[in-house]
Amino acid sequence: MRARWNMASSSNSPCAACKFLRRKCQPECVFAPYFPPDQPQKFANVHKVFGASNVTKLLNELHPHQREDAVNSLAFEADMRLRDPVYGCVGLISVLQHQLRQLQMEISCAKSELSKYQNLGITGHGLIAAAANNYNHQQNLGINLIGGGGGVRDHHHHYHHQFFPRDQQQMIRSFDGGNNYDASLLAMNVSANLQLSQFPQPRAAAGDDRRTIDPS
Amino acid sequence: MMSSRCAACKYLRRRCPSDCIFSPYFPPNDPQRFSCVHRIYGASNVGKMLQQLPSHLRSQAADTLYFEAQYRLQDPVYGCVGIISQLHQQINRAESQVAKIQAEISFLNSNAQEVEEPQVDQHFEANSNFINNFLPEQINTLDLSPYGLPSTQTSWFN
Repeated sequence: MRARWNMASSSNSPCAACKFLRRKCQPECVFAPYFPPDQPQKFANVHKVFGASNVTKLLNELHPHQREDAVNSLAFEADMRLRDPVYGCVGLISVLQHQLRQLQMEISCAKSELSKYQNLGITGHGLIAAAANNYNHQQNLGINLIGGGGGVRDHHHHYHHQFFPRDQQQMIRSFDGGNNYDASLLAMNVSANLQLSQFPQPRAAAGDDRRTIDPS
Repeated sequence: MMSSRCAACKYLRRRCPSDCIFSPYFPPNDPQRFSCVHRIYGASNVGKMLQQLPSHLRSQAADTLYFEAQYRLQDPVYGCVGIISQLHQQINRAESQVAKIQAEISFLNSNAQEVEEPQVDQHFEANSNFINNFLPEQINTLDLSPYGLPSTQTSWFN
């Protein structure tokens, strides 16, 4: 990080942030290590969504070794928000959750298939027993983003209305029906214990009109 | 006695005009909501983002901005990108599980054929096809590497 910092100042090339802001890039510029001059769009996006002063504040609250990841995740979020001004990253989270649920249903179906072999007495030289034991001891894989008593109101993007799904218990039960599916696959506490139940429910949205955001 | 100002105008200590862009989405009874988005995006950016959307989409936009802001406050390094990475990992694991079970079924299916159960063969073959066709051809797993974000570490949440 320090090497990149020196490189930006010693080469007399302002970082992308200072270029964008049309100011002198000081040796101690907080943006320089993370916004190289050859990636102008990165800072432009971050600036559009978060603003330079907010990014500065965020970075100043972090340890130096955390800042690169923070900037990169902010750049990602900004990019997603500009691509989808209505849902931003949340749209992607919704899609991935949907995909994960589909896969988990597939696993459930496949395990049912597998169990039929057991019923037929085809042991596969102990493979089935081993497989059953293996799956029953799966670690938690699911992510607990669920909560809230929301209804399904958004019909334009089907995955969007699943972003605020119903009660966590209800969701786990729906996968824990007699398919030998391990409900713990769905549950993982987000580190912050942040539940979606405290968020308001999505109201109907019709379009995914993409608008550009003027630079601030 | 009644305050007619929305949470945003209260926070910003200004008069709340009748056409306030924030008013429908930041009611006065939830001051924390605006405070949260203000800390991450700033009032000006939020106002611009909402202003540029058709009115019927602004509510969803405000909700998702709030969601992302909350996650960023909780996890200042990764925000909700941490969730995305975690979901990617889980999807990869789930895909592996599906593949593993399919392999088990294929193996046992070949065993079943050896045991001379022709009816079972058709049954399992049909179901294998079902499982194969049920898998999407290509799951859209977003590659985070262009953003310089690691994809496999789980130590982020410590």
